[in-house]
Amino acid sequence: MSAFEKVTLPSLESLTVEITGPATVVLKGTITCKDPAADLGPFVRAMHEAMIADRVAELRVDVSGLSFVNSSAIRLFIDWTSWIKAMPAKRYKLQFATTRRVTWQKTSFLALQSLAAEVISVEQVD
Amino acid sequence: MKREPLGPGHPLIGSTGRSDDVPSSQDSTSGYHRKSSMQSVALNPSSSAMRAAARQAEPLDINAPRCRCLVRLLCSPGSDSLEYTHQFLTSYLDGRLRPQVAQRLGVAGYELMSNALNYSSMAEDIALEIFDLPESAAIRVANETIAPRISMLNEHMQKIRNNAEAALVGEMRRSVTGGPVRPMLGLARIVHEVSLQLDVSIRERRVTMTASCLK
Repeated sequence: MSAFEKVTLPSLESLTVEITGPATVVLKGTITCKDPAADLGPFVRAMHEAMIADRVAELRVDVSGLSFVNSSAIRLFIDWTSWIKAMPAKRYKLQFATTRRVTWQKTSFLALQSLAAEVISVEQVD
Repeated sequence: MKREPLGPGHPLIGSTGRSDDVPSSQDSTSGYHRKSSMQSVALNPSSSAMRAAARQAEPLDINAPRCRCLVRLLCSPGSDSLEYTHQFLTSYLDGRLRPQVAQRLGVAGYELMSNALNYSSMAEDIALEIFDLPESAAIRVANETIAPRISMLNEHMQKIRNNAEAALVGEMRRSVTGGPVRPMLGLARIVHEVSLQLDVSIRERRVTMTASCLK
């Protein structure tokens, strides 16, 4: 069993998290909690460490079903990219699957990409 | 319900998103001259959202005869009401407005409420209102704040007014580099991400922020 498959999924009322492949995670719902760093940070960190342990080149993060996130949750995505950038020797890429139908995804991931183009790519699924 | 005027005569410290605000020579807290030219803030003039929003040059006039206050919510400063308020708002807006407008106002409602809860003094309740006009809709959040927040807000609004996209990316970058002041993504999201007009007024320590768009 890979380290990625052993990652404990978070339990958040408004959010569903599924691991649907060897390097694919799907997030659905909303992130509106006051402190996503506390509620989701450990999960994101665990995924990051699992990617490094499994020596996976790319993790696909499907956020197309994530209809709303607050600013603190966006900061969590920013933190994630900065952790990857800080480890050039063990770097993997994040591929975010997004939708044009959800407004926050269009601008936030474009902005994020401008900050960390070397570690993220953004795909539109529809 | 007492309605605070928010027309051109209002002591507006700034409006951003769709209007070309030119600072007067007065103190920044005392007012801005406003003109209706749309040129300087066009981040992406080809987008339909920009074209639609550009038609709405003046701040929403909630004293207009056909302006209705649909909802008024009061929250205690420091309370843990953000998530529940957002749940209510999104459901209400979804049932009332076109999906895209509801989504945009939902983002504004969350971010404005979050700021109010973070920076409110304990003096008065935070008031959130939804306004409806024949052509536009708005969310307004008013709260008493602390003095340091006012200068921080003025400075931040100026950056957003200059270039909302750059302000958003700058705040994102600040999330990585850290610093003494917490990154403030929320207001830049309202203007750049969901393309709403954002009007801000400050009277002494009372901050009133109105995010509006055409329906």
